[in-house]
Amino acid sequence: MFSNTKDALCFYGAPLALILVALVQIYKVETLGLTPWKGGGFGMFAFIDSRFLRLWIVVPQKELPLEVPSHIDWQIEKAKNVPTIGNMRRLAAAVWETRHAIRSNANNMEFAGFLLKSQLAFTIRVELWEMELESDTGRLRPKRIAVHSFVPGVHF
Amino acid sequence: MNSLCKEFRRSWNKLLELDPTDLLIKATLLVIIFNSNHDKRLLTAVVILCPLAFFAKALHRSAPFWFLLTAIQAIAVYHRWFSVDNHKYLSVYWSFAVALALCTRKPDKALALNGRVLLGLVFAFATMWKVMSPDYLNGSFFQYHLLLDFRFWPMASWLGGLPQEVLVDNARLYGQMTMSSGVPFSVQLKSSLLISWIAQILTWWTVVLEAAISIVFLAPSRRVSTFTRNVLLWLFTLTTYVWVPIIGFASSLLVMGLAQTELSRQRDRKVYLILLLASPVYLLLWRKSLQYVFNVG
Repeated sequence: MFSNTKDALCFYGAPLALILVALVQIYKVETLGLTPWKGGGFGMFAFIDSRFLRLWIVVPQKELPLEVPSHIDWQIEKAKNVPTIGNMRRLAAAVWETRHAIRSNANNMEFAGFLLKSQLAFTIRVELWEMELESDTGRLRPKRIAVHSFVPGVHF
Repeated sequence: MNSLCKEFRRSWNKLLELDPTDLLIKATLLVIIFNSNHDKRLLTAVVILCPLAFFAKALHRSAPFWFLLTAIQAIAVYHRWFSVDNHKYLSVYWSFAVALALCTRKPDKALALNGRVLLGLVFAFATMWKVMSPDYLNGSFFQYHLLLDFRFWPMASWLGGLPQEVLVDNARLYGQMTMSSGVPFSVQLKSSLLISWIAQILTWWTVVLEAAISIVFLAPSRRVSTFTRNVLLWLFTLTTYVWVPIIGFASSLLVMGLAQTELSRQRDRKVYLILLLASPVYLLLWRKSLQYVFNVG
């Protein structure tokens, strides 16, 4: 059908590129936890796309939720869609750098003051959750799918 | 009004008289603009390059220009590969197909083959993921979207009989669950038996139709008539994008569908053009009506 390799490449180059990217995407879904919706594998509209993040600041015997500032959307998207330990660490570091951790708990001044003066090591815990819908009852249940803890000053 | 109709008819005839490869390339330039809204720099580049190429034949028939357009889109996709939608990838492949086709002596044949194979592959991978998904085949995927995705609310409301207040209430519960910063808790969504039935019908309709499209587009062209392929693709486009008008995806599929339709099938080609031209107008009307009825969108 084709007189030479160049002709074959011109006819099948684009489909080959699609297959290659889709296979890499399957590999990333299996190994990195990439959401099937993303990465060019055409897995959109096949899974409930409902991942969300929770961040906690943890000191001995106490833990408080952290608000995730929306302006670090790059790190949020990356940690949500590709929840590797590296991406979650970068998210924790970005949240910490903004000092949002303290400001978002401003209503708890005692805790904020304690945290700033504390010589104790504290950790930031990053959790990734997704939804499960029970189709027969209509109950929506959260399910934790990844969790990693990081110590400011040690991990970032 | 009469002169407007005459003008429209004249423009339509002019469009049909265009060289088929030129028509396809010009439609592709339009699709690239639709698919470039995820990156400001990309959008700026294509908004300059595509209209230029639209009017300059030397440019839109030049392979290096298409390689450049492919590279610009590919860089933008690569830059944010973890969050861009699949149709942006598809736009890169189709631009690459145009660039490669222009390197051959028979660009129309190369484009026809690429249109058919790319469409077949897209639907084959989409079907594979749906069959593998635990959320999909038991109907929970569509139930979730009918109850919480505002794009599906017209269907949930008009066909499923769920009052608008119930849908808004479900969305509020979902927001409380995901947006609060404490420990996530489970919530009971309000649904109905009819919604479960609609979810099941949508589930099987979509997966069977997508599987059928992948088979007929990947089968040797002499085994399946172009008309069968076209009818299935139109059916998918109309039953999917009428409810969820993702214009970038719809227009990419339609351009590839047009590419694989022989010149002798004038009526089929007209249908593709009508759907392509109607899609942005429909999107605007859809957005306005959603805003009006549900106060969302």
